[in-house]
Amino acid sequence: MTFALETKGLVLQAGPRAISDPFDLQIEEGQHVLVLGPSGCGKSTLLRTIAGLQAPRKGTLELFGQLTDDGARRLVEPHKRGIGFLFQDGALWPQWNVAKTLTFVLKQRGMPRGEIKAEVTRLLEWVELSGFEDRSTPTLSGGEAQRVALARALACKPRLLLLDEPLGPLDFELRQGLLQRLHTLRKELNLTLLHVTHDPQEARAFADVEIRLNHGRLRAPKTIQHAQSAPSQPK
Amino acid sequence: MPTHRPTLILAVAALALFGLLPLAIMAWRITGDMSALSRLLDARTISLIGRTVLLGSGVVFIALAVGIPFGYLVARTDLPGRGLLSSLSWIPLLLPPLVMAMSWTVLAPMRGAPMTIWILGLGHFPLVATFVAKAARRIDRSQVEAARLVGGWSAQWRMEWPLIAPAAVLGATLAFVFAINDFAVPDYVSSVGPKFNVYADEVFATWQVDQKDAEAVSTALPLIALTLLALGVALFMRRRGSLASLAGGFERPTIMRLGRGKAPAVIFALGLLTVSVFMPVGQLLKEAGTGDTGWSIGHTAGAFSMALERCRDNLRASILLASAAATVALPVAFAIGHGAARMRHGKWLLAASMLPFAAPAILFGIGQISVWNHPLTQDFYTGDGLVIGMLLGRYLAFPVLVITSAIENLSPRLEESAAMVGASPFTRLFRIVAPPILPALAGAWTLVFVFAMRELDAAILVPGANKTVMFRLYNAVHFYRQDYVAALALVTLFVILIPGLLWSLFARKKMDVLS
Repeated sequence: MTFALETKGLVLQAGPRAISDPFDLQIEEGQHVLVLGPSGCGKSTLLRTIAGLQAPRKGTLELFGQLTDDGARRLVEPHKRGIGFLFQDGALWPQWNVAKTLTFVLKQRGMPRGEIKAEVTRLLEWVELSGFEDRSTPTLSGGEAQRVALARALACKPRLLLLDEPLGPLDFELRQGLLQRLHTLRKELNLTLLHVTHDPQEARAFADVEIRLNHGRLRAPKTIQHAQSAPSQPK
Repeated sequence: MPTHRPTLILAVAALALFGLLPLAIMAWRITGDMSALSRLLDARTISLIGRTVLLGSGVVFIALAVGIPFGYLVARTDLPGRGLLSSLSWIPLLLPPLVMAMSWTVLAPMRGAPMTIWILGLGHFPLVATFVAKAARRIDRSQVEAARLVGGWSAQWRMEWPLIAPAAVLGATLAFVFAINDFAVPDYVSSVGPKFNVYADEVFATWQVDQKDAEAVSTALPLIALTLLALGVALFMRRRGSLASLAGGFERPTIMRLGRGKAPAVIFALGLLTVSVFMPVGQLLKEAGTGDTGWSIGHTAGAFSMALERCRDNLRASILLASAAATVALPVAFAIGHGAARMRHGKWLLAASMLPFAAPAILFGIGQISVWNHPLTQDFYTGDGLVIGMLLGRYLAFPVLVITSAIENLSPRLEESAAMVGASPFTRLFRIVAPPILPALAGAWTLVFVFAMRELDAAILVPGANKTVMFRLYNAVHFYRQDYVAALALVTLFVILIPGLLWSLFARKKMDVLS
């Protein structure tokens, strides 16, 4: 079986309180996985390592059957891993408006010039921001900024979406809206989601598995049991 | 995120060639004549160290005494016209010290150490004021309000001072470095009164007598040690207190009402600008327009027209050389600044770029001669290329500092998210990092232009720089002083001030860059 993500004896380069033991982890394609743990335990470092933004200290990492990291040796560049990344603060480029931001990404991905406009429109429809093309990114609200960041991540046609507490700064309704949107997109695009969060209660309704980082170790993944009658139950 | 390696290598090569190589060669020369080190123990040398430290300390005292209250007033209070006052306060730093000396030696009868300290203190207080203002604006509103609730104004000040003090020390150490390395002011003040020779003077004199490099270097060693010490302090203080990067959710503190203190505050701020800007500039205007029958507009116009007629080529050369140096320095500083901000050991890049500035300008000039005055490089040595290279090497520290600070305040996530979509390091550098820090880049260009325009000390030694307007002014005030010389000084000031003021009025508001 090919996993979306598989690690063997992986050790992260992280701070003193972060997971220091080697760990094996397997995540199936299409799953929504919550990553939980106290501050400083290495949740973000795990995501950054998977994305290739940071090298592991030891062990191997495979994404969709392809070996991407062997010890500190990076074998596949971040943008060639089929990954989208949602940062906590959105990390939108302040110099461009929404359309230019997405155009930049699509050009980087080699999309023919004639197809870009239609693709920008489609991406914005996906994140329910049609008509926002000309909005300057610094003028967007927190929820809008995160949805543009999601559109930017989706523009790379990712198979694995890494979410580094992207909902933290948003209020309850916006968080629910974005979680619902992510859930729908996951089904439509067959995405695998690895979701770091401080507030698992809300996200559990949409997730399949949770993994916990604590006391320097990564605990075995635990399947989330959903109540059949829960109103917010998306399945 | 790693920086673009080829760009960084080219930038570091430029720094090494024009900034570090002249210093390395000068250091090497001393090993050939260790006896030159014996000069360090001369009673004369020790007395020179004392005078130089006195000069630096005096300048620091003035800069702190007026810079701290001025910076705080324009940053945090409802002082009328504080934006304009803040912009105008840059002018003394932009004025060539020689021009300040020309005016103040006529305006006041003081001479020797007090006059030299006065001129350099007034000229460098903006360094303290600017850093203090920046630090004062970056204290979070909730922190200020919490302190106020605990114990009123005194609690607020006691909470704020530890956050502002590192900025004041940073500005003061830079003022110290400028003051102890200045050659033009002590030299000029000594030429119109009793001699007050300091180290920078002595290094030049030692080299001029018999051109022995080793003696010049050994004479300069204490000065270099003092400068390095001060710059070490400056680098250490750079990320302390409220000069550190802002946390998310930061809110600017509210503007405080001066109430009954408004009138004294206005008098203080205007008084400071009067003595540091309006009086010296006014004196030059008076001098330019005074003929046999007293001051007249006709005479003023005549002096300006004569200045432009006689020195047009010098002005043009200065503007072209300073613009070229600033334009070349910008990409070099950008690449080094990005490396300094983002690489694990980047602070060494920052320190390396500051070394050329740590050496006395005169010594730096002698180093350039040692490197380039050879038959094979004669054309380069006598041409504009060396002048541009020398200015680049000498002043690279400032754009690197400005750009490093701006990049440190920019979230690394912006570059990481660009890396995730496949943007190359070069694309990330120029399309993701550069646009949000454009005001800082404009500030960096302006700083090099201004310092290059007012450069005199190292330029005295490099043949290609003999055609600059500062060199012409230096000769004019030493050998004959006519009406047109004051007019020429004013024209030079005007040229220097324009880009500085434009940046101060427009770009600086968009981004605080001098952290």
